[in-house]
Amino acid sequence: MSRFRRIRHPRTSVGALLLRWLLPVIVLGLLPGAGVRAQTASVRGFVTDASNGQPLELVNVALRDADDAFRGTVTNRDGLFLLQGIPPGRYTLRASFIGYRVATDTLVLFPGETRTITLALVPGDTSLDEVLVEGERTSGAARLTAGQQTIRPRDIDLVPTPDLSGDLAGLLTSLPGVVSVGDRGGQLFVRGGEPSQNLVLLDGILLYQPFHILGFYSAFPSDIINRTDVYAGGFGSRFGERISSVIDVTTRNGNNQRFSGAATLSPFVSAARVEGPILRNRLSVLASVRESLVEHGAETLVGEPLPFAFGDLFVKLHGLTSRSSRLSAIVLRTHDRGVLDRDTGGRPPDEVRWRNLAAGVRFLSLPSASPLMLDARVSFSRLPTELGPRDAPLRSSTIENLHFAADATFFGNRSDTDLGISFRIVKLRSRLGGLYQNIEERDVRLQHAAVYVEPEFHAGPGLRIRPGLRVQFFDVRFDPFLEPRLRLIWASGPHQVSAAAGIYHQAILGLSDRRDAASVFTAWTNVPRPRSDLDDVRAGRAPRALHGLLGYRLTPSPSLELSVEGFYKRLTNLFIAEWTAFPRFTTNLQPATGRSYGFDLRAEVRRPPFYGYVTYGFSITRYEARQASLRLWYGTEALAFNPPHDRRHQVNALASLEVFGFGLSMRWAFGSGLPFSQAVGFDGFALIDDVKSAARIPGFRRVIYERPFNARLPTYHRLDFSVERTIRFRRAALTGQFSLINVYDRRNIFFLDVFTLRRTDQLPLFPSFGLRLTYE
Amino acid sequence: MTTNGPHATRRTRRRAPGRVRPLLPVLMLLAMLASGCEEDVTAVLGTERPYTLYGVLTPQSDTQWVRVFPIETVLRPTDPVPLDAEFRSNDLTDGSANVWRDSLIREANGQYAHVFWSRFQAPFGHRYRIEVTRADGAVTAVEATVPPFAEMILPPRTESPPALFTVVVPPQIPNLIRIEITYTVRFRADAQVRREKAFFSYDGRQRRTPEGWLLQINVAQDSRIIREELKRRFRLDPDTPLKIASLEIRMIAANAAWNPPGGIFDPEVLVQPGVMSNVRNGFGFVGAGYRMEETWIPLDTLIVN
Repeated sequence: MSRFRRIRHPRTSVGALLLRWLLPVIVLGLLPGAGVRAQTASVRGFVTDASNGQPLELVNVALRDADDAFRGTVTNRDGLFLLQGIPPGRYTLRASFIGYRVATDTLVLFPGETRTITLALVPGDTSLDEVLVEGERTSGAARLTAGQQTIRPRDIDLVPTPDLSGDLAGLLTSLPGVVSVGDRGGQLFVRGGEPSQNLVLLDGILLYQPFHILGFYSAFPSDIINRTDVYAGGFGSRFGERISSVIDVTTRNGNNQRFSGAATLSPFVSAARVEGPILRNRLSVLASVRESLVEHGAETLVGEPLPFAFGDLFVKLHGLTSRSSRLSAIVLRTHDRGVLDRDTGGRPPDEVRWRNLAAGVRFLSLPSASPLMLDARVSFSRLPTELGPRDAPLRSSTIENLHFAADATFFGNRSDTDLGISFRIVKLRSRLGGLYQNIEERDVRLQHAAVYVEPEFHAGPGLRIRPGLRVQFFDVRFDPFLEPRLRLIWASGPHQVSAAAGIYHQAILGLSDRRDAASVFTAWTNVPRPRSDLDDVRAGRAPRALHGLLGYRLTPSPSLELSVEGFYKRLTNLFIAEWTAFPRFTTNLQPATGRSYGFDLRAEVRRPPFYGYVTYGFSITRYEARQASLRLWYGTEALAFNPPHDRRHQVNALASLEVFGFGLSMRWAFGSGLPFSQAVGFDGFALIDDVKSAARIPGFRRVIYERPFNARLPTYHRLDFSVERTIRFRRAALTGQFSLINVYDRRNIFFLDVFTLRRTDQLPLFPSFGLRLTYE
Repeated sequence: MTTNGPHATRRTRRRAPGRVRPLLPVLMLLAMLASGCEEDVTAVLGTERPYTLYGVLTPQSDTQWVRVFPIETVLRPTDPVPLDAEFRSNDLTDGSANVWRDSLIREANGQYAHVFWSRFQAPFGHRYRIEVTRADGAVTAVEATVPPFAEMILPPRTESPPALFTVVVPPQIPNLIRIEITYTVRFRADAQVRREKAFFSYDGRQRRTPEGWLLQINVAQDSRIIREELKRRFRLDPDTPLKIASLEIRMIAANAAWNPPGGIFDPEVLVQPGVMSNVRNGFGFVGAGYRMEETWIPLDTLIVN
């Protein structure tokens, strides 16, 4: 009895679970190794590009002894490798990577020794004769593994955009299963999930709204990106607190050898990047700044007002604190403001504004005590959002969080184990009002904590199994949320089969009125604890998702890759804006459940100088809402409908070709129509609840709807084209680009105001041009 | 003949799908292209129903008022011009007719609204038909019957109200809504005699019987709630005597259609078109009724807890 009480004590719960879940793993990971380590040696270190100090991923690191016995591994995304359990003796170390000269070294290892080596590979000859432990290519349109796709900057740069700055947003919106309701607003829906259900990380820092108001741009110019991992679902235990998807952006380090930079100019944005060593080989800086010119520069090209302004500033410092540790610090600031619906029938247009501030420090270390990698992070991010006049906003919402996290990877011979702990303090502040609404104020402080463990077993030839468990604590209840996960990959020759499944929870809600596509204002709120004195539909019901994925990939030749992946998501405890005939933004919530399922087909061709891909995405998203009054209105307990981001069919095709020194790129996107609510008409409403003159009863305007989301908007399709040419002058290069967006001037609808039924279209045909000067 | 016939038929059967099969993808592609070329969107389906009406006919006023909202295809502020509508009411009981006039009022949000009015009293028990005719002849109509005159029957006056205070309303009243009980209590606190009012809603607590509507007011329970509240506000001693100085009973005698779901007037529910609506070829609700009010004053007796 007394033991039971101790376990239930809130202050000991995280510790108890840590002991219960993590200690056995740590013990299993460390103790057997400790005995062996006394007899054997280990070699570890980082591999970088000698020309700029960037960590190199997937470098083959191999040790051969005098008998030519081979032991190898590949570097991870931080350029880190670790070989352990090596019998003492004399070895030849070889590090090889396509596009770099092979680095070799001779090592004499002693019993119990842990040798730390930093290898800097020099760009040069390609070594094709090396035994590749793993394929060198990780990115590509068809390279999908259990919902995960890796995006490299070169993939981003292939997508035609109105300028040369290159942005992750352009590529994300071309992925099957990713739906954006238009070319402005910065809202991405991934396989049936809401934007607020996406976990967007920048070097581990949580960002709430990193997409700019104009859909071509995000806070992630390709210049600062090393890689981006997009998990459309089925993500592993390392990620939590969101139920839909993960967009995990890893930034580059600044060049620690010499200064370089770039400047870009176009009618849409101006951008500059500078990087270089502060202390050569030890401390580097990377800074990027962009500012929009759309409001003044692009209006004449587009032929319509573009009342948008946005920008971002990114600075990263990266330092080598020792041979076995790295320290980096980043700061990101973004700002956005704009009017999505200019025509408001005489009222001043509602301007929406948001700013991201994010800062974080990351410490990466290889402790000499055990074969593990330690990744510790402290970060802060904040997002204030406002709607309405600047001096007196109608609505405002601020969310911020302070996050402490530590992840450790234990390296074994047949398995690696990731485990970690995370603690987040979240603050929410909102003031919601509007034309027809009472002011509502909220101020909440929350604590979220999590521990996870995720081993990866190399179970057989080509088979990797990655089970995981995340134990997530939210304020909503005392008991933790248990989130089992599983990722499974089997590869054999040209075939790969992958699967993933998992349970996910979320305690922070991003509330938008989805009846109105122009309403990008998101009110951040939380799931409160159940209380007897609080009648709140959200109380105690954290949104939950169950994901299941199954995919197959075929690589019949090096130039062709095909993949298919099916997915299923079951969403429960969703909260959507209550259905009402009042023409207004509403914060009244109704519970809902949802299902999203479908499949992606992808084909990718790489036959230089040609590169191209075609993707097709099919998905069905259906919500079922419960509201006390539904029975009265529609005669059913629950209302099943396709939410406004239910895009049934999506096709994306991209073709890129190098001809006579010109780079041509063309992209065609097609999306079937999104659901919207057709109206029968508009009238008014007066509450007749007393015997009094109707002149004394206040009246309100009303929309007479058909059933919610009963119709679909016209299909979306657009062709974009760009051509560019680069001229080099020693270390400098000048690139000129000409682009045509919406080549055949398709009149794609952006949104239909359900209250006034005014139509706003996406951008028409417009030309653009850009210049980029780089100095390397 | 007999052998060729079936063969010929079989060949025909085999060929038919063969001809259709290559057409299917073409047809699908054409359908997709056709839908892909469509740029326009039908946002408002429109309706033949011309008006939405809201109001109450009552014998307790010498002027009757009904709000009229034209059903439009665009949501826009109402223009400050008279509505192109003819508004008539017919008393189906005595055959008289009234023509109503338009008036423009301004809402709290500054928008204009149309309220039609006519100077007459709607007598008890009379049935009315209201017709609002648009210029094109489309008619929105509603019928409402004013409930007959009735009075509440209260328990006889005693020294203190009974623990279960029964109110009876004659059975010819079709419906009772907005049943409100107001207690006036007297008590001593902080060396002075105070007088407070306590309000209770008894909506939906009435019961229809062949003898009439029965409403049982739970005075004992209400007294406990009042005492708790007073204890919280005035730190009232539990032994302090509390006297019910009066018991005010108010309700609306309403026509049958004036009956919100669950007996609750929730604007979020009632706003949905079609909910509590009696208007034909239109939307909204026109009720008929009158207020009933009685005060029960006990003999000068203290309620001892």
